[in-house]
Amino acid sequence: MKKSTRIGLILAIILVAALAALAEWLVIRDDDITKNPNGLITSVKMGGAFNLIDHKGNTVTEKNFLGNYVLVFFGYTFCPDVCPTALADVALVLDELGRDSMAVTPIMITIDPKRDKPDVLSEYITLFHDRIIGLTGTEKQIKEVAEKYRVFYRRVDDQEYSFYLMDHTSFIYLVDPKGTVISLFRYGTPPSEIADTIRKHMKG
Amino acid sequence: MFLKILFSFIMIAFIHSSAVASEFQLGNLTISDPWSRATSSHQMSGVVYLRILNSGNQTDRLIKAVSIHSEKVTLHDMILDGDIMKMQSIKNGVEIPANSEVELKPGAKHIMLMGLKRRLDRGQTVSVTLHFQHAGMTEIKALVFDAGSRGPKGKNLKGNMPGNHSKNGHKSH
Repeated sequence: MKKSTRIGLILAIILVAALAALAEWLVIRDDDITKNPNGLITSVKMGGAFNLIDHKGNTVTEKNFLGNYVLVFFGYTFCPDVCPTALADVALVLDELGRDSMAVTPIMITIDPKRDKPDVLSEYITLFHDRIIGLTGTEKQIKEVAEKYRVFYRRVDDQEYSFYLMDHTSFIYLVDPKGTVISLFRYGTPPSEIADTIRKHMKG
Repeated sequence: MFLKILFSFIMIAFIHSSAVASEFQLGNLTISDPWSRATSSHQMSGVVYLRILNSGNQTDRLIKAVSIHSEKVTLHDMILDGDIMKMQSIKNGVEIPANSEVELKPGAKHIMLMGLKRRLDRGQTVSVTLHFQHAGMTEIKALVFDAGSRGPKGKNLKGNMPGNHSKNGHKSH
């Protein structure tokens, strides 16, 4: 076998292995999920402590959000299509919950901390709902929280435009008042379904 | 009584002045309800969604688009690669089969305004010239809705949709 072919083959194997590992990491297995006797999910093995900066420039940790349910979405402001749609869905969930929505805190965590500084986030989130909190941080802080939520994100450069876009996973995560992740919803899940799940948890 | 009449006139005048055509005809193609979303002053890309009905017997393609509001306009699709959302350029244009309707909407195919020259505000209109393989070209005006809007047909958050005082646009005025 020619040397270049052999190198190509080895690289291909490494790439496949890496993709498989990524796919594995992204998958949430049965033993990552804990349910109560009623079948209601009480925890998903993800989430946890974080150290970030909110859209007003204040340092915050996960402790700042205890006591309320939290809906978390990871996105970025340069996102042309998916993120506005998902944030609109989050706002619709709050709408559906009516008065109960005060027990839910909506958060957007940026996966593009380079551009999404607090003031940029601040202007963006107010377009969707006045209670959304935007979180940013250093590249390291964002990487840490993204890893805890198993969020995949990657910068996509295109010579055709002067700015970059991002590929990313786009789940909406539900965290309970104790800080435990209890659900995640695929992009496109109807807001009414998310609201129903929250209501079920509120009833216990 | 006079006040009621005056009020009605004012409302009608207001509706007329904010009326925007929501249908554009080009040969066998009918482009309906083009709409866009408001952006923040930092965002450099915008979207335009619309429906295209091809009532002819020949398949056509939306091959290109241009707008004075952005440096470039591209045609994109959203691909779900496992759970990763990826945007992809539509290489040969959007196919509009004969006797069918294609919808460009959130989470699916859409027109991207790349390198916005200004912020898009709710209530404004965005002019885009669409180039079709067979039908030729036409300029459409997309109405800008809220950033989180589902568009003229979808369920929206805030009650006041710009110019949307009657069902299905303003063709009847």
